[in-house]
Amino acid sequence: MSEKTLHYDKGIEFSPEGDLLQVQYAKEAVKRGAAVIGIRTENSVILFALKNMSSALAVPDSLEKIFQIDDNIVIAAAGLMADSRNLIDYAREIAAYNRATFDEEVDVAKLTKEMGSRMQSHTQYSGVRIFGASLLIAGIDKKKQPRLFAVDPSGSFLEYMAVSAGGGSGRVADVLESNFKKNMLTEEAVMFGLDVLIGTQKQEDRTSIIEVGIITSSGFRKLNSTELEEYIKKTVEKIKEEVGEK
Amino acid sequence: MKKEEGEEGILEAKGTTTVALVCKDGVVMATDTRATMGHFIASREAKKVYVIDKLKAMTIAGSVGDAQKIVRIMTAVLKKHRMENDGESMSIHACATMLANWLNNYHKGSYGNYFSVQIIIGGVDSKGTSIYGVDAAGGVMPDSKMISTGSGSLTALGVLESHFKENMTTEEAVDVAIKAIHTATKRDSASGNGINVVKITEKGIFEIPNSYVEKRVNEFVKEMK
Repeated sequence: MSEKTLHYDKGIEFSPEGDLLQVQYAKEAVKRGAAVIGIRTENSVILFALKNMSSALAVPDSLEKIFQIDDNIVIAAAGLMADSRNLIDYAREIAAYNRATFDEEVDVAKLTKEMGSRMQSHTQYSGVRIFGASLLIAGIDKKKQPRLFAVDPSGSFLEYMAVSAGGGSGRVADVLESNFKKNMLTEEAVMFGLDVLIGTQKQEDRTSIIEVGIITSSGFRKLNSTELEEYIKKTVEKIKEEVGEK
Repeated sequence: MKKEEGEEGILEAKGTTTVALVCKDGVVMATDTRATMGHFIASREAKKVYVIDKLKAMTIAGSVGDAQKIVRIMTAVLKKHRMENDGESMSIHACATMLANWLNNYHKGSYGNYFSVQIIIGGVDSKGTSIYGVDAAGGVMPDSKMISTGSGSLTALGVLESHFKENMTTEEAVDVAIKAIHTATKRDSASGNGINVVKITEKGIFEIPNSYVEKRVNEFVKEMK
């Protein structure tokens, strides 16, 4: 970085090159965090989150990365978890406000816009720090269709068929993009997501704890440890086979 | 502060009959066209049904000024909602709940004085056809089959109770609505002059031509003789 740009990474101001350096740093912070993946199928959205526990003595269930917002919406967060929690609280407030005002669930696209606006506001006003978090927002819309959005620290968002954040997301994103098939069944998609998530980990990290949540028009549920173990066992075997063949 | 006697009559045009009913493939709304200020007939062709969204309309009763402000706000808010939601209209349930919350805030006095209105919101949304009644305190009559408001509502409801059938065709419902308003205008001095009828189906919002309404009224009068 040139000396000239140095001044511009203190506050949230444009550098002469036209960059908002703080926003880029925040995106970098998200990349350093553990990976999350979202996959949309014909009737569901599945969210996956890696949990790297800082201590072997920590209780894994106390680290939550997939959060239910309302009956129809669930969010997976990547990046600084303390920042994520603040955003999750805000999302739940929006959902509650919508129920009180309209007696209806908030629409998933609408909530995504609200989250984008809140995250954007932290890139423009002084006295605030940019959220070091990306959100994968999954939900079922009013037409009972599954929807998946990703919001980054700048507050901009896109809709996806499959998306990842965190985990040095370059590699995860590449594998996800090159192996994604449309119209997977929910079960296939769970296998696929775990395959990507575990396959892109270093060998020694493959014991990391994983959280999987599935949302359909009949509601949201997280896979319990027995279901998850079975899926992970299958996935690890599959990966071993593939590696062996090569 | 309590209003002095007569003051209300000067400041607020009141006295109305409106009805709304749900039929097989739509909603029918009808109103009289008289606006009064006390004993004075302030207008013989007052408009009391307003289109507020693509497939939503609202009837108003009570203070005309209060009601028209609500119409303006609702129309603007619903348009904004459509722009923010990929062209998707707000559901009628959400629309009525929002208005009810809003009216209740004013009723409680935290924002100011209450809106002296009785409102029916009706139309077609993704869940089908429905009508909702909303009053000045924010009370909601959710998803009713028939509603009447205004000073002539008692008489109109009598007609609705005896003539309303489930799953009527739109044509039958228009007849019942005309009968209800016509009868109310015979017994309520604050209701009268013409009858406005609007039907809402999936195809859109249509005003029933005056000539047809007058023809049907004459036929009812003959039938009753």
